[in-house]
Amino acid sequence: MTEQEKEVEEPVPKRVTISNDDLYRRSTQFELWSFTQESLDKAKQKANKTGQLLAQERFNQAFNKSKSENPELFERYKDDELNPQTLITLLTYEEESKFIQFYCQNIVQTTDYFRMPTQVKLTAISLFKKFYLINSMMEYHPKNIMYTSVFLAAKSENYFISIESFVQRLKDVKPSDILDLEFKILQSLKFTLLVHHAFRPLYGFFLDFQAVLLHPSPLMYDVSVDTLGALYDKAKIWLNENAILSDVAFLFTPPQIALAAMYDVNRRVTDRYLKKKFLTTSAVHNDHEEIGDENEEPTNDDNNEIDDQIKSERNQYEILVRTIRKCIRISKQEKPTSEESKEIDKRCKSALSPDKVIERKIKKLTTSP
Amino acid sequence: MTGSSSQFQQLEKLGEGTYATVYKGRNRTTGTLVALKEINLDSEEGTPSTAIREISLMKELDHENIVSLYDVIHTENKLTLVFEFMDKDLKRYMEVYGNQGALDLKLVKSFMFQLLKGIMFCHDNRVLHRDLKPQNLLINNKGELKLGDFGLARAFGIPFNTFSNEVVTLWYRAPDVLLGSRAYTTSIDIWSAGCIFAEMCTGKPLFPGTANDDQLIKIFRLMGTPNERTWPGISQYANYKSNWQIFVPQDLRLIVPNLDLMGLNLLQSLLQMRPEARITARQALQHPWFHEITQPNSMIQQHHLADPYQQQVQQTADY
Repeated sequence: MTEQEKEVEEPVPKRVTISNDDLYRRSTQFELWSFTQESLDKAKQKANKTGQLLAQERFNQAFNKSKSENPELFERYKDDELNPQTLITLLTYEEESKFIQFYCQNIVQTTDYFRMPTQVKLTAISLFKKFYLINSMMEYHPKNIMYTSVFLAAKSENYFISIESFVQRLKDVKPSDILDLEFKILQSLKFTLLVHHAFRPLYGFFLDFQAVLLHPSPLMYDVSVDTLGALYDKAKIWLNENAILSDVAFLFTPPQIALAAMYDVNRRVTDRYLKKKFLTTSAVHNDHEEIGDENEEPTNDDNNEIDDQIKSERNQYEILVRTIRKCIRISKQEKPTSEESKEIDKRCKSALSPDKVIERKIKKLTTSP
Repeated sequence: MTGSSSQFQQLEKLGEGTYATVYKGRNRTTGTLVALKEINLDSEEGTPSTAIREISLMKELDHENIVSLYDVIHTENKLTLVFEFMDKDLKRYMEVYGNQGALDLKLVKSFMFQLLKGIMFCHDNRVLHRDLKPQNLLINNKGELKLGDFGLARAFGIPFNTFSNEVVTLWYRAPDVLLGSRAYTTSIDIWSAGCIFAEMCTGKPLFPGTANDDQLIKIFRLMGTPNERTWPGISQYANYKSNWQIFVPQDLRLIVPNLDLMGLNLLQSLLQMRPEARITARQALQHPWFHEITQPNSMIQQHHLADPYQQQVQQTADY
């Protein structure tokens, strides 16, 4: 399924207990909302295709209606101005993807404006994105979906805001615009609103970095609680600027995303942590400079087993680093500009209201000489 | 999740909750019984946030000791949650089958074991139930007990969110919550489990307080009035008073006379005043009182643990 390579973290416990990985695999986030790049693209393409069909149907109706009302006009301009092929607007899959990203930036602005907690912001973005894996912007314009996602996220994360005070501070939105969409969103999301974000594991890693890199004595001469604190703060900013707008939450687990943030902010320290965490056997048996005293001479019988162990640890480590790098790359993909978005918005509205497009065209053709 | 309400025939009313009415229902095609929790949407705020949280948490909690959510149906002005049908809640069950409310110890053991398994699963999934009480524990005719009504439940994590302290029906509310703690954790569900345990044995609620202070006094009367020595840091709580009447701890045996000593030991571990001293659900499930269930064939084990005093000594010696 997803990049679930990161597995062995702790020694196998004596008693049968459930690992955090097992818990994650039982979450709806993993079961319903985790993808490979291919399956994610497919889901988006499917939503886009459905949207195009709906928009096409809507256009045909408007076109035929208008045509029956103005038969001569349509006959006269049938090859140019009123040619259905040139009149119709359909958003491509790429346009929809860009527009979604753009709206995620709007969610950030909206939640910041209301001073909502980070958790609400992140959940709102997640709900919004999931909605458009199922539906198309050619059926639901993102503006009200965005506000409803924020409103639902606030409820789900127990940050109370009344619909009146929410709507009051927004432009051109009525309570019913939001409340009417609530169930549609809940249903599209199959009622799964619980989202695991990367910020919590990031905090966990911040604590574990201290444990691993500073205790019992610092492993790196220039790493202290303060430098790790700064790394943590920068990683949070990194997540806000990169990860939360991208698709990584569909492709990676929250701890992988958290590690990606730390790795990109400070590769040297994070890599040291990962090596110390993953390459435990080779650290004991090969890396003399790292752990001098604990180094024990292996007997010949042990050697093969140790070699295998070292190999498998190395493999684990490399897979994880590759996963992290991929996550960084996807996180940092270019974000759409507002000019681009304005253009897409115009086309989105045309796709949603072909009757208005045709009306305008007719008006132009009949008033100009 | 594409059911329509006409798919279910609505039968008698089962109960009325804070934000919903529950009916018995029957699936018209399969004949299966269900519980239909109807939530009115004519409120100005759309879907109540309690319902939103209950639905989203129930979607994550798939366990034999947690009531299953089958479907959510939306009609004009109401939302219906379709749950698996359970015959009775524990309160009603005790009224009907108990000896003046008190249940047979074998049954108490089975119910406690299932209750703790359900709680453990919630806690493993970082969910606090926060409102455990006999009315929210459902029993079916196979003797299965399941946790229901997650309307007040919350997802938690580290660092802990601070919650309002207006949760959990007073009688099952932990002392740290009554004292005004806002940083409480899984241990609040454990306290409730302890109260329910005693109630199943005696048929009477353990601490039937009438208000926050009265609730605290009822707890102190039995568990002893805490002080800085027995509970370091207690004077920091918002609702701490230096002039509480002093009570000495009572022997739980006097309150729950029919419970064996091993069971009393478990009860004591659940009803620890200090939240950090309370046993976890996972630990509780390994308590020797449950060996009958967890290790049914191990006679040696049972014999060995026949004297609970010895057991207690052993436990303390381990520390």
